[in-house]
Amino acid sequence: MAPRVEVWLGTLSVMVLKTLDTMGPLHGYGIARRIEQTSGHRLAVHYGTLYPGLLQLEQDGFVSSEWGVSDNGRRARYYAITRAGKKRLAKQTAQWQQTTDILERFLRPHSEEVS
Amino acid sequence: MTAFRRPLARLRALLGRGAQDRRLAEEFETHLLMQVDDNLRAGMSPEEARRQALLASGGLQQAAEAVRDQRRLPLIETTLQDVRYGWRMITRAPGFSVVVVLTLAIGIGANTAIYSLTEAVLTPLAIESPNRVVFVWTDAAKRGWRQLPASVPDFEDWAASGLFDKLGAFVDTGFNVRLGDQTDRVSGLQITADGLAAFGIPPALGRIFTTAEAVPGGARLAVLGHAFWASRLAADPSVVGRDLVIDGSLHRVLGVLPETFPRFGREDIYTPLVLDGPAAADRGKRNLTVIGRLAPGLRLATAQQRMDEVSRHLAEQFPATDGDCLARLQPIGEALVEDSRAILTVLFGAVGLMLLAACANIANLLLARGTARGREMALRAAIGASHWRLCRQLLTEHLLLGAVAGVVALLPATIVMRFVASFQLDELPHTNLVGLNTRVLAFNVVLSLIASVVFGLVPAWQARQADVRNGLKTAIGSAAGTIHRRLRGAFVIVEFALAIVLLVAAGLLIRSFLQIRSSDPGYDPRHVLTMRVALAETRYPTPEARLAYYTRLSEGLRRLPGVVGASTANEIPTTDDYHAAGLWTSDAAVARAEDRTIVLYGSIMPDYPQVMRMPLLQGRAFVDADREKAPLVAIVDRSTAARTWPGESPIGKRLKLGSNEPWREVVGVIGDAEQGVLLKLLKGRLGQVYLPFAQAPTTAGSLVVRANGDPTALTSAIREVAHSIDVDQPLFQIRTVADARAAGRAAHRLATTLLATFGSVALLMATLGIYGVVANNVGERTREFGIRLALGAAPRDVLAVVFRNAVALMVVGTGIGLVVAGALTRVVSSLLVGVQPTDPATYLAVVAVLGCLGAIASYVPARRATRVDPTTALRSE
Repeated sequence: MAPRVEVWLGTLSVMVLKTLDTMGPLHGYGIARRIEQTSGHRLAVHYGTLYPGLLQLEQDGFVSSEWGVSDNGRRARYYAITRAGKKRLAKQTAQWQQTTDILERFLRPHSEEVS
Repeated sequence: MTAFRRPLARLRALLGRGAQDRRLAEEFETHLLMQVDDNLRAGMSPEEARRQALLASGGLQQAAEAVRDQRRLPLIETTLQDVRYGWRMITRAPGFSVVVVLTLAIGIGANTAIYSLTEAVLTPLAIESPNRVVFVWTDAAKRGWRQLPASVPDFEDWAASGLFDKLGAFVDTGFNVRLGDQTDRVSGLQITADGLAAFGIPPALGRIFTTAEAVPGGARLAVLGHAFWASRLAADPSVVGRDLVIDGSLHRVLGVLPETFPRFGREDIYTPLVLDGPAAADRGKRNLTVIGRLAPGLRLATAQQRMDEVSRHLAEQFPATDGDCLARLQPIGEALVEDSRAILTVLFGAVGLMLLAACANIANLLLARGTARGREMALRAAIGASHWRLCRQLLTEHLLLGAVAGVVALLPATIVMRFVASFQLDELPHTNLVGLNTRVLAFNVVLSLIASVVFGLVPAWQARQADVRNGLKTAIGSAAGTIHRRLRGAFVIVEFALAIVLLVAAGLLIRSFLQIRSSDPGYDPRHVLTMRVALAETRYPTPEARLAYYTRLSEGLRRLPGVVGASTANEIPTTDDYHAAGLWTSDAAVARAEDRTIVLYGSIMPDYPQVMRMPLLQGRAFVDADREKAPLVAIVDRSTAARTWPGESPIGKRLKLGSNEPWREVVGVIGDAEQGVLLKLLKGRLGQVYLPFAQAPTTAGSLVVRANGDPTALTSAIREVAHSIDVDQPLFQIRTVADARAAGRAAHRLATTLLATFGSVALLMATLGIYGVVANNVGERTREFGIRLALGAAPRDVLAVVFRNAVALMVVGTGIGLVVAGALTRVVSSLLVGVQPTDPATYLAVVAVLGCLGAIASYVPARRATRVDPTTALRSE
């Protein structure tokens, strides 16, 4: 298994929101696995980072949570994206796309600096 | 929206923390188990699956902390932590905490009470433009009389001067008021309509009487004070317009004054004062207190200047009566404060000194504790507590102590207030209505908090200063230790000085109290009951009727079992209601009015000297034959005889009391009797002339009843006798003569008790202080003493080393205290009788008491130094 990087601060919330948006309600473990999976196992999500992030999202009203039962019959807390969360996701997606776009232009080896 | 929602959610989380923690633990558990499940599915052994799961999830504890940090408000959180920690520290050293809290509470409480009282008493009256309402007093400067009342002609001349919008006069009297089937004596004023109107306060109910109604032969009217109306008439508004039986006749109640109406004593009823009769024409008869409102636009200084002209004019016109007199205007607020100034100054000063002593004591205690906690602070700093965090924690701890003390302080505050109010001093009117002043309480709490916080922060300051490793090794840097020792020494000095000042003041008051109690009053006050009667003039209009009443009453009392003797005088010696007059004799002409001797005069029944056991020195006592139609006679006391007829026998000499009064022949000389305190303070001792009651019967009189045993047991029997003679003439001020002697000294008693209490508290604090310092000193130097003893020092030498230090502190403190006391006790001098403010015996006694206690307090810990076992001491660090 390749060495994994811890998820970067600031990016976690958009990953969580996106995951919940596409997958529907999920428990914390599920979110962590899904993010790792999506990143091609290049990211590691520790619960020391995940749960504070989830809590903050919940405090901000972007996700809601309730107790449920997992596939193998374990009691788990399920998180779901809220309407505010969707708006937030849309906004952040746009922002991230712009950011990566700009960075890409900067970092591209053959940039058109001489115009 | 978000910015708002997040703190809210955090606050909620803070409050429901237990549930949150459980949820968190459960989520972690689930997370872990799911990971384990996955690992098992991937084919790992159960142990391996769990180990890997734990590794993959990162540190469990850090995660929990991170979540907690996210979840809560860090400031509130740490503050609560501080509070919890502070509370733990407070309860861990309960002795220390109790001493600190009690010291603070007593200091704050007593201070708050006295300050509240002072502020309430000194608060400007609820009078419309109070600075314009003035008393008009007469000062006779050359004779040294101040604040004399005015005569009716003088008053009328002043009223005609045009300086006053309204000028009124009142006479302090009392009334026999019947309520239901009981008649009681109630104090009150007879006051002119303008006098009542001069205050500019509208009545709470009804109206006040007018000048047109206050005429000879006018209707009988009354206005009630608020306190009387509320307490005796159940605040019944329908009382206005009804009739009240006052002095045996019906008086129509016109109105009720508001609660804010200023009282000069305990007056409850106001009736119109009618200025007529023979006394109204006599410029020499001064019995009116004059009060007025200055004319609009007239300044006080201008009014006084113009009043001086009026006085000069009157002096020229009537040199015999007004020759030396100057009318002085005194704003009413000032007049009310003047009465209370002496007592308030003393109380105010005493309580302030005690608070200082309390602060010094707290500072001392906290420094001692700070030294002990230096190590703890160093340790906390070493494991990463920031300096600011340490400070904040100590701050919280002391604020907590202060808060507890502030709450506890309510108790002593209430006790002191109740205590002061229970004296019902005329000097401090309305004290029963005064509530605790929360502003003052807050101020005092803050003050003592500042003191405790400043000194409480010392350990934190030290933790910053001291090198952590050194701090841990030796508990405390030696340089800082020296500063501590010096500071604490300074505080002990301050405490001793304050204790000396308070105790000297208390001691002087106690001495003068004892002096009053033990000195020979010139009569035998034991087993004598006294009471007053004030006959209603309407029922007893003639001298014969008054004489008959008092004769019947005295005879009735004499017949009671257990009574040795009973008699009547118009005033007994303990009174402050004096009647004074100039003394004319047939032998010497006095050139100037101000050179004339002033004597007190009063009338007595023939057996009065015998009942009071006053020695007859020459001549004879009065007899029943000394009646109205018989030759006029008088008895003088020894000092009058010696002053007026030195070297001669006064028997057969002639005297008169006032130029228009008849001549009287002196028939006897009697021993000097002690006079009322107020008078003594005002004039020193005056001579006394006695007249036969039958030749000068008064409406008001004091009865004296000498009993076999406890005279108070006779009270109800005596009341019955009076009741059977006339239901409407109540007996009042029934008390033993010994109590009557002390009664005029209520202010004195209050000051004595409070000062003695405050002094004892200060003494206790000083003792604790010196004990603490010596104990601390011994504790710090245990090792040194061990070495000394090991090297052959005698225990006595070690004791001397410790003792020398303590004695030095005490000597310096005592010295400073004595100097300050010498300078300050002048303040109490107005309350002292027969004792000089520099009375050496008091100073010596106080120094002896403080010295002994201090010596004991330092000997106990010092002895511990001599018991140090060298081997243990050397090993101890």
